[in-house]
Amino acid sequence: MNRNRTSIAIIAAAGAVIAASTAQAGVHTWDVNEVFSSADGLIQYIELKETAGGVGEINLAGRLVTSETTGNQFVFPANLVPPPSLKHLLLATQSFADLPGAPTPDHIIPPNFFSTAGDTLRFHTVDTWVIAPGAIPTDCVSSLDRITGAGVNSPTNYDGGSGSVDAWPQRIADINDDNVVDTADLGALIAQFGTVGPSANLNGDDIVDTADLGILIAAFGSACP
Amino acid sequence: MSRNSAIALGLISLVCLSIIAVNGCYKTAHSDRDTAEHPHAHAHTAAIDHTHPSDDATSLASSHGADHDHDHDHALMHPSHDPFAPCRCDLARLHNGWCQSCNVGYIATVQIDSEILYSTLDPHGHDLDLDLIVCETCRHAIDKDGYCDPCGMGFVRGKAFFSRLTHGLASGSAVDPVSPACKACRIGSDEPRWCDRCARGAIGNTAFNNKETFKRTAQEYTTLLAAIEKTEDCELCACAMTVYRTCPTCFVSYEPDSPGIPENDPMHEARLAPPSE
Repeated sequence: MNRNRTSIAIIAAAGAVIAASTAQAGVHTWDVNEVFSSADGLIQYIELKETAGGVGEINLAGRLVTSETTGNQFVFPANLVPPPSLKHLLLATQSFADLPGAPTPDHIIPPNFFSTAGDTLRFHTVDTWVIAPGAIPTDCVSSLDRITGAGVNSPTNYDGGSGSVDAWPQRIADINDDNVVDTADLGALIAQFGTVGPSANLNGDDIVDTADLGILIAAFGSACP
Repeated sequence: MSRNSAIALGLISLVCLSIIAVNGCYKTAHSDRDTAEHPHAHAHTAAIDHTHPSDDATSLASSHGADHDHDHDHALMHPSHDPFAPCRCDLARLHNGWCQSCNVGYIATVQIDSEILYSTLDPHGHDLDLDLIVCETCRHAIDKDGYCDPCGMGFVRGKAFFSRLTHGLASGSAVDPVSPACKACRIGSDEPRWCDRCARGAIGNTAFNNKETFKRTAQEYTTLLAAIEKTEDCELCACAMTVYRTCPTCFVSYEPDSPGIPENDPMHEARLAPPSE
């Protein structure tokens, strides 16, 4: 039995080696798939996707992702570890990486890598995405998907790690949903003080009290960046 | 049986499997390429043989059958540099391959020093999941071995090619440029040339029976020469030229009918130059 298992394992490994050696390497089926940005550009990501189930699309070393508007370039430092089929690649700013819920970026790009006021993103010479002015949402939770348009962000890295971020973690204190924590929110909290809320019950402990006030004060003045 | 014996048995199986795989691939690649341009290429070849029994031009495709072993030679297909490797330029020239030793590649027997240009053209077909391709023009191209210009992707026998040049070359059949017995063909072997006598065209290492395919591919060959010239200024411009896209760093557009190409750009002449006949 052990002999058979050993033989089968070796034959299987041989098959894998032969299959790997015959795979055609390239980069041609990677597309820029999704972009996300805060209004100030500090929190951004660019997600690429292998779109055609290519088994050998791994030769990214030296290939560029560029922004025509800002002139920024990112050069991939190394080839990918196969298999790449239908996987994603996540390029993101450090501020994005620091957000709760963010999957680990495969590569870090500088802030304001691309412009939210319209841009053309390119991957090498094989993909071009012209993004119209105003098309990229800056509400801190929505991204622009190449196929489906604006929607809740869903960054995914090469290992398959995925998540969704809110670029404004203090959003919880924005009681009236006007994208800024200000006196209007403070007034709403005071109006609900001592009750169960619900909208001013920021910590979810069934009563609006000084703990909720502390959260609001800590976030006071913040807005979706 | 001891563990060592089991491993030995496994290794023997590995060798046998490799031999079977290589032979199988060789036969498949050979027969495929012969029939690339016309499903009945063998019959067509036989007809030429009969017309010119003294020519060995008709056996060009089959005479290089053994070379297709190297279609599956990883080192020959993938650019990398190994100065200690033996020079394999002869093989690379025949198979649109890359010589690790000299760190140069060849497409249509033209030497390409730029790895990024060679990789962008990527002369070897890609295995994709064709079911994922939804573009209607691409779907039609898959069925007809055609090319989808908007997507920049063509297909030959289910494999994807990402430039008009490499798609055209894949549609032809392998040929050694120095072996044609027909003098007209041999004279034209250094540049694209259509021989009316043989009703056959040749571009570097590839023969064409279909004149339209030949003419289209010859035009792309001219673009390749212009792109190689361009690599001295900007390698990414050179890449963009061959696939009719925009340079991602200079933002010069080489898309069809683009007005943005500088007047002194070699692409201008490439577009104007007709293939010779």
